[in-house]
Amino acid sequence: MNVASFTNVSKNFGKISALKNLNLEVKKGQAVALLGPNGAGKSTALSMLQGLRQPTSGKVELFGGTPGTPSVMKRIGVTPQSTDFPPQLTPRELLQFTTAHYDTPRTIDQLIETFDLRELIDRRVEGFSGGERRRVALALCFAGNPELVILDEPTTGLDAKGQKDFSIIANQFVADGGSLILTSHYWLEIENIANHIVMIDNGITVMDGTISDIKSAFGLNHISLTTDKPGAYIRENFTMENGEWNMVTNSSDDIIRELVNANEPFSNLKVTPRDLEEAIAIYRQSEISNSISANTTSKGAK
Amino acid sequence: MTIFFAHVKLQFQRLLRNPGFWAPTLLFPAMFYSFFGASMSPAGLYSQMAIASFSVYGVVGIAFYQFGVGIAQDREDPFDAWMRTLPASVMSNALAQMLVAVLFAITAVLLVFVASYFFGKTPLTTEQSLRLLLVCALISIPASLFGIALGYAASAKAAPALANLIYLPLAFLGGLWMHPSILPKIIGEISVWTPTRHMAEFAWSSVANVMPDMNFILGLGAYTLVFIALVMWLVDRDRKKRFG
Repeated sequence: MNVASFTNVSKNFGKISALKNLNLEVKKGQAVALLGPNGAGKSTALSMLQGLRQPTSGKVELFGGTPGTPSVMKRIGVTPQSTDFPPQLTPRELLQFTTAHYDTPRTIDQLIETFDLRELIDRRVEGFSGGERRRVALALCFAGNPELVILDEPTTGLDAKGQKDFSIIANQFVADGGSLILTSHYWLEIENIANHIVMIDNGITVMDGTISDIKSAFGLNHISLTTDKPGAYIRENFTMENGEWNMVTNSSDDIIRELVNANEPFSNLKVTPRDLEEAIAIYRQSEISNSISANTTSKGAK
Repeated sequence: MTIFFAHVKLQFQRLLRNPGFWAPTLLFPAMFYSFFGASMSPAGLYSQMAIASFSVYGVVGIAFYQFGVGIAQDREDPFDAWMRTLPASVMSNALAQMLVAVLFAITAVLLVFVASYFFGKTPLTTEQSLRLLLVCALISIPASLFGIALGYAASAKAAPALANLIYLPLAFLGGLWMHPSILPKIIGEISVWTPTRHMAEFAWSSVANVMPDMNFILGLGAYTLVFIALVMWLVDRDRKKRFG
């Protein structure tokens, strides 16, 4: 059984279509990053999963049930996207309030330890920094000991250490059999936490695969070198940019072997792994190019 | 029940740590009674009716400010949206709000009773006090519905101003500050149409130990139905707008 699923889900706001036939599955132990530009439909999809909005057509399921029903909601945790908590309350009071809703919640002491709340736990949140509020938000999400967590921009406002610490917590949660859905603008965070990427644009799924699949499809490594006398092999396989010859490839070992066998002089050889952001940017570019070329072809045909 | 009490506790924590809310809503009815109601009413039944008037003033104030302004602010509060993702029925929070409002209303009324003991010319008997408390609990239903309607109709910024704009004139027109018999004729004629006058008639009748006029019984029933319909429409409009 899927932990969460969207089956041909569409959502319209008046004449505006926020989601068009979205299909998405989250399985046990999967960490899915839901990506897309602003207005792509990510928040709409997440709000449906939280039971806050209903689809115009299609079906959204959580643990085989309907999002929003208390028996299903007992199995999930949600980070508040905004950390504007009631200023009069302390993190301990917020956590006590939250854990009261669950059958087997984490203890307050566990949450204090995991989210480094010792110094904050009995202070009113009105004076907290953005990062401190974010730590409270993350603790609230995990307070019910959920099987699925929905993390909407979970580390916005956290410093580098806080982001790294959260990656460890999230990875441990997934390693223990939990599932998560994440939206984020931090590529490093996505690479560190997610093992699956779904990209939405204009309400439709434009990419769905594992991170290694996506990186393989669009080149894992970037090779660069310099040479005064580029031979045929370099001229045919590399491109010149800013005084360097460059190439993106999935098989850097083979390329270097062929380069040596071609006996062409070169220096400053560098092989750098391409990051996810770059791979997705190339994917987007290739999509745009394909769309332009399809348009040109159809106009030419007319 | 654990969830319900968690919501009640949260409501109390939020409200009691906000003196800007509880000081005016709890203390002003007793204070205004002491300044105006106690001194302006002659001894006897009129003095007791002033206690009833300012008790109703307290109940309506709680409904307008706790429900009206509170709900309007909650609707724009991201924490309220997040609470909806918790495994609890929306009713848990609504019922908790209602219970806390009733407890606040009873406190405001009891404070008026205390003030009447010190400053009133003719304090209420125990029997009258109990009857008036019961009537106040009863009229808190239409008053709360009116407040809820206000909370769903106005934005967080507009709600406090709107509450003031409606509450004070309605209190005056309804005869809560001065008995309608001493109001100018035109105001007296308008007074009988206001919901606050209907509520006040019930409170006055309870201290006089008589049945309210049938017109006011039917009128308050009609107002209650109108407020229920208004709340249902506004809640549905809000749900579609925020979560549709």
